[in-house]
Amino acid sequence: MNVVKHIYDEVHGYIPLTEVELRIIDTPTFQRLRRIKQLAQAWFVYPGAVHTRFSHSLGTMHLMNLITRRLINKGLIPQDDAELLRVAALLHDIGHTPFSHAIESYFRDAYGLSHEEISSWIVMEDPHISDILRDHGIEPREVAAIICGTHREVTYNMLLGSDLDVDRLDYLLRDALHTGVRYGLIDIHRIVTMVSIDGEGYISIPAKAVQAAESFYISRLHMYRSVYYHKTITAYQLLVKSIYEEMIKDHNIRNLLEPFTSAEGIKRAIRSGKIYVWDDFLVGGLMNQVIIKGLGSNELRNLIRLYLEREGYRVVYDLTGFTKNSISSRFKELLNPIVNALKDKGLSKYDVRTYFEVVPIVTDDACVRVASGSNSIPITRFKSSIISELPSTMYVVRVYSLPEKFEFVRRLIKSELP
Amino acid sequence: MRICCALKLASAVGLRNGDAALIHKVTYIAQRLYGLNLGYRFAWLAGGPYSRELAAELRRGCIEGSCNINHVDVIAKRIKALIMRVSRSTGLNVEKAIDLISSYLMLALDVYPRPVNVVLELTKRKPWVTRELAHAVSRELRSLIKAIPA
Repeated sequence: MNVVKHIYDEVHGYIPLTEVELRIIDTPTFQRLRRIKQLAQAWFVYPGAVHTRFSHSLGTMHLMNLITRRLINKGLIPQDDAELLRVAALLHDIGHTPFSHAIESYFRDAYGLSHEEISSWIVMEDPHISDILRDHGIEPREVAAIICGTHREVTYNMLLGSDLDVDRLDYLLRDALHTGVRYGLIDIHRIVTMVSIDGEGYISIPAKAVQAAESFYISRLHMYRSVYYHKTITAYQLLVKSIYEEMIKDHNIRNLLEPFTSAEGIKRAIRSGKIYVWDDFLVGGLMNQVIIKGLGSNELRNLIRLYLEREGYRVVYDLTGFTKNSISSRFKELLNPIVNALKDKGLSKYDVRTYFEVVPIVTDDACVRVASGSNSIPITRFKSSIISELPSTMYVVRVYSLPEKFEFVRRLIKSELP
Repeated sequence: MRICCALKLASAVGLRNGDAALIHKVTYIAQRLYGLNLGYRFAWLAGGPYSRELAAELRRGCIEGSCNINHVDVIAKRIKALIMRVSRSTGLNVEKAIDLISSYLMLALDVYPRPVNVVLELTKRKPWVTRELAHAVSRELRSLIKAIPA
C-alpha cells in the first residue's frame, strides 16, 4: 500500500491514505460529506452527536483496509482487489441525502430512491469522482456494484452489506463515542483479527470469537433503543420529513430546492458536478429563509419554528416490544384502534404522525456465521451462543402529536385503547 | 402494498411465510424473468439474491390489506411450472431448484463484472452445483432470458 498521507480520526487513530483515496477525498463531491451529519436529529437528545458522514466514510474505509489485509494474507482475496474494496468503502455513503435518513425517507416514499442508488450514480457519473477512479485503473461501475451489493464476488458485497460489515462496525463505535452511550462499544480489534470467509463466501468467525460477535449484536440492540429509535430522535426525523414535504409543495420554495426535488433532478446535478451543494446547510438555510422572509404556508412556517425551537412532535403513545415470531397480525391489532381513534377528528395531516417500525435484531440470512470445518453455520444456530435466545425483532409503535394538539390526541387514543 | 403482492406470489407458488430465503428468490425470479414490477432491489449474497427492503417489509407483513396487481397468480403459475421442470430435469428438490434458478439468473443478468461463463461461475459460487446441474438450468432459462425486454 503506497501511503501518501495520514489523517487523524477520533475513533481509529491515524488512517493511512493512498493517492487515489486522497484525490477522491479532496473532490468537492466528497467534501460535501463534511456538511452532512451522520445522525441527523440525534443532537436534539445527545448534543455531542454532531459527527459527520465524512469521518464515518474514512472510518469505514479504514476497517475495510484492516479486514482485507488479513484476508489477503490468508489468500482469500486477491491483492489486486484491495484498493477496489477500500475505495468502495470510502464511497459507500457518497450519495447520502442531507439530514441523512429523515429526507432519504421522503425520497424513498416518493421515488423509491435510496442513498445506495444515488451513491452508485455519483460513482459512475460525477465527473470529479469517475475520472479519478479511471485514472487509477479502477472501473467506476465495479465500485458501484460493490456499493449496491451486485458485485460478482459475494464476499465483496457482504463486507459492505451484511450484519457484521465494515459500515456497521464503524458507525456503532462512532455513534457510541459521540452520543456517550457506553453500551454501544464493541471489541472491534477482536472481530477484525478473527474474521474470515468460508467456502461459500460467507463472512465467518471462529468459535473462540463468538463472544465478540455476541457483544456486537447486544451493543447494536442497545443503540437501537437508546439512539436510532429513540422516541425524541424519531420525532424530529418525522418533523424534518414533514417540513421537506411541505417545502416541495410550495412552488417558490421548490424552485430554491431545485434540482434536488426529484430523481431526475438529482441525476442532472450529479452529471454537471453540482451535487456538492446538496447538504445540511442548503436545507437548513432554506428553513431559516422561510421564516425570515415569510415564505410558504402558515403550516410550514409553524413546523419549521417548532423544529428550530425544539418544540417538535411529542410522543402520545409508545409501544416497544420484542418477538421471535412474525409481527404482522399483532401490528394490525395495535394499529386499528389508533387509526379509528384519529379518523375524522378534524386533525391536519401534520398534527399527528404515526410511526411503525420492525427492526431486525438478528437476521438468519445475513447474520454472522461461525466456522465449522470449511463451512460455517449461522450464529443463530450455534448452540453455545446466546444469540439463539435473543428475540429476532424489535417493534416500535408510536403516535406523535404537535404540542398544541397533544392533550386532545392523548384523550382520543386513551378512549380507544384498553 | 407491494409486500402483499410478494406474499401472494409466494403463497401461489406454494411457499409458506416462514420460507423467507425462498421468498426472496421467488420474488427476484418474478421481477426479473416475468416483469412483475414490485421495485425491490436485490443484492448478490452468499445465499443468493437478497433484498434488504423485502426483508424489512416481510418483518412487518401485509398490514395494508391486499395486492392490487391482477396478474400475480398468472406469474406464480409460470414460476411454479419452471420450478417443476428444473426439479424434474435435475432431480433436485423444490428448494434447491429455486436456489439454482434464481442464482443463475442473477449471475447472467445483474452482477458486475459479467461472468464470461455463467455455468462455470455458478459451479464456483455454489459448491453443491455440478456442471451438469448448471447446464440443465441454463438450457431451461436461455430462451426465457432472451425473451426479457431490454
